[in-house]
Amino acid sequence: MKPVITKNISVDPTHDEVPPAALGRKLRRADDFIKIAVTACDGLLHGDNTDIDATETGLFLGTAFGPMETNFEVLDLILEEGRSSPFLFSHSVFNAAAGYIAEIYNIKGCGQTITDFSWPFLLSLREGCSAINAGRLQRCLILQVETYSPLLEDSRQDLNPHSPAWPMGGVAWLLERSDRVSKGYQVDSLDINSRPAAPEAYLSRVAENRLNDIQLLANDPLSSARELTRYIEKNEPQKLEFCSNADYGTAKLLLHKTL
Amino acid sequence: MEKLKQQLKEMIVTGLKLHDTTPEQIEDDGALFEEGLGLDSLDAVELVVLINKEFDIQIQDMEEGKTAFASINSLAQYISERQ
Amino acid sequence: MSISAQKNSPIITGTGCICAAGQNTAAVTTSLHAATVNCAPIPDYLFSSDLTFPAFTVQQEALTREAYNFFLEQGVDPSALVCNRTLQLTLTALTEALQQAGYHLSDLRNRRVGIALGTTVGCTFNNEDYYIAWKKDQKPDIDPVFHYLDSNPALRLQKIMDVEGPCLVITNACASGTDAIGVGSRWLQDDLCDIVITGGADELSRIAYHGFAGLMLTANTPCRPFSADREGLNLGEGAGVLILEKQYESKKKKALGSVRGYGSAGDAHHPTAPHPEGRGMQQALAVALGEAKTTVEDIAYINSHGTGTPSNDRAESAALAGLGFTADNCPVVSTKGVTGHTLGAAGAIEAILTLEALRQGSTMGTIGCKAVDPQLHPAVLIEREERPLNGKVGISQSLAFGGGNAALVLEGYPA
Repeated sequence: MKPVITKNISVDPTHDEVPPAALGRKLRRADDFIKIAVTACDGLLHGDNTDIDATETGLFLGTAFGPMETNFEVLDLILEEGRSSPFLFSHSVFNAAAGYIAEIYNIKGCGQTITDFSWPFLLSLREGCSAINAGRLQRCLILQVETYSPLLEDSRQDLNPHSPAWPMGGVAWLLERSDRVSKGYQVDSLDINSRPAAPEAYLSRVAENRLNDIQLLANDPLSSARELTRYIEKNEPQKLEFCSNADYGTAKLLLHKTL
Repeated sequence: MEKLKQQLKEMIVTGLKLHDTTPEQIEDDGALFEEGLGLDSLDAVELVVLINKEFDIQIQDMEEGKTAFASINSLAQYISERQ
Repeated sequence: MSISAQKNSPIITGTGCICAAGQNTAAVTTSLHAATVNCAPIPDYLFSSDLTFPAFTVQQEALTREAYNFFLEQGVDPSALVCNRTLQLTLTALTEALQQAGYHLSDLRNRRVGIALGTTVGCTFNNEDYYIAWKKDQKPDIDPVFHYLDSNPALRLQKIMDVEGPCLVITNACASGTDAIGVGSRWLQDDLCDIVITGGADELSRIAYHGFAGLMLTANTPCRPFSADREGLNLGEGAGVLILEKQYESKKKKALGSVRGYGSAGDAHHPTAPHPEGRGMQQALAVALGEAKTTVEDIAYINSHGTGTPSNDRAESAALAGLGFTADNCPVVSTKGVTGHTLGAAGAIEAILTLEALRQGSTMGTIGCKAVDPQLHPAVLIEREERPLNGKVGISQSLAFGGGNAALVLEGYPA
């Protein structure tokens, strides 16, 4: 039973309200990574009144760099004052965002946080599809969040001077069983083949990324998820075929519109 | 004691990131945890660290912390006894 | 009792582990029997700190000479083995697991090899010298950043072994190792690969050490899981690696046991504190038991998360009691009294210790627990007790920061 993408969202903190005002108090302690993650989920689940049991909804969050800057803030405090902030440390753990999302949206099924430099969104999608195909979940959220850090940006500029900065942001899809929904894009197949690469490859991200016949230009860690979301949002193409060919491997995703 | 209470209220608002609350809105005898201000266990351990930094007082375990943290009054009392 | 064999339960053909209790599975098991508690101040070779909470650390040489030679003799370039401590621990455990499973690297190259590993520290950038120099605008040489980009545990293992197949790192805090094993099992069931290298690893980092201390979760003395006077956990470091293969391979290979079921569920309660009744842990257990087609009565042994913090042990006991586990029918133990809390490695090391207990048919009690807190049920087995097991199927479970819970139902084949 191939799952269907029924909702999707891309969050850009430069022009979206992150987080939505109603969640301000709940997220008062949260860092940017968590705020973006929750904002993305809010876009998909706000006002959700599903009859699906909370234990049958799951979440798979992929990230390349995790809450990197929060980790450095923890280190700053240890180096400067010899102490740790409970707020900062607990939010520097990569799955903190998943914990917040689970609490706010009552998600009691499995919640995995996956860290990978190549295609963290697609890896999360693969795990989510497997869970729905096997009937372990009725629906799940697939996310990717990136907030990077100035240290990382400096390294990137060292390697690729004057290259555009990687924009922070998040992408989220809602995946559901195909027998429960009628409208959306169904996941026909997903192949990810990672390949050993020189470490620089994950920074320079030289890759040929194509969506149907279109060559995609941006290649920051979020760009393929963002572009896929843009096309799904348009709801025009009958089929969507994404191919990525990079030093660090190949990935191919095939979707088709159900209605 | 009033100055200490004011300092504590400011520390709580800033240190615990209560952006929608002002120090003036925190009552001296109001509950800080659960009802009242609605702080939780994560706020409690952060408060321990803030108090250590501000007043050089180390709260050793959370049983001790629980009584001290009941309200601004109890916290001010706890700190002034140890300074 | 009869438990129907699961046709697609992945078999376990090799295990390897390293932690404060020993450099391999046999040594760790011996430490359990001898109640050896290597809980000590942080050694200088790790990092310096004004804090004095003791921890369970591994010797300075985290990549043993044996492991180093194992890779070198098979053509791996020495420069490929220059890596961070988390990876060194992983490679040591991997060596033992591969040797037990009877695999040379060349045997793996014409197969689809999945690598699913759990970690917390292993995915962070923790080169402090570089960070300090960068902050001071000294523009340090960028090599440490490249090292970090080269250190995703699954991708790095793929590179070192020169194999092909799915790679994934789970960063689910304390449940990472358990979840990685579960994910790897699924890959075999989904036919994504033919063999899976799975488990978890974490070195002891300064950030984690200070972080847990700041949260007031650490104890000043060796931990006392499930005791009335328990006051917290001790951090540890280590790695656990398991080789999983498809059921049909058991005709050719001597399997140690199998992964009968896996469940993962969220508390949806609080960012850091577990649900007081362990409802997420109950759900994860229910799913794992369901997949394994076993009931509470079929379970002969439970390796709990049992960190020794007041809240964890309370939540976990409530979860087990809620499902109907009693001390009479199924001994529950915590092994963190000899391993410490190894974070990303914990679930993997504990899965291995679960397997060992099931294969041996008996278990030692919970080191560090002289008397169980009367408020906690089921009562865990206390230290110095030894109990024969009345079956071959057991559970290894983990509760994580962020409210994640994971459980494995494992079967041990007779030793």
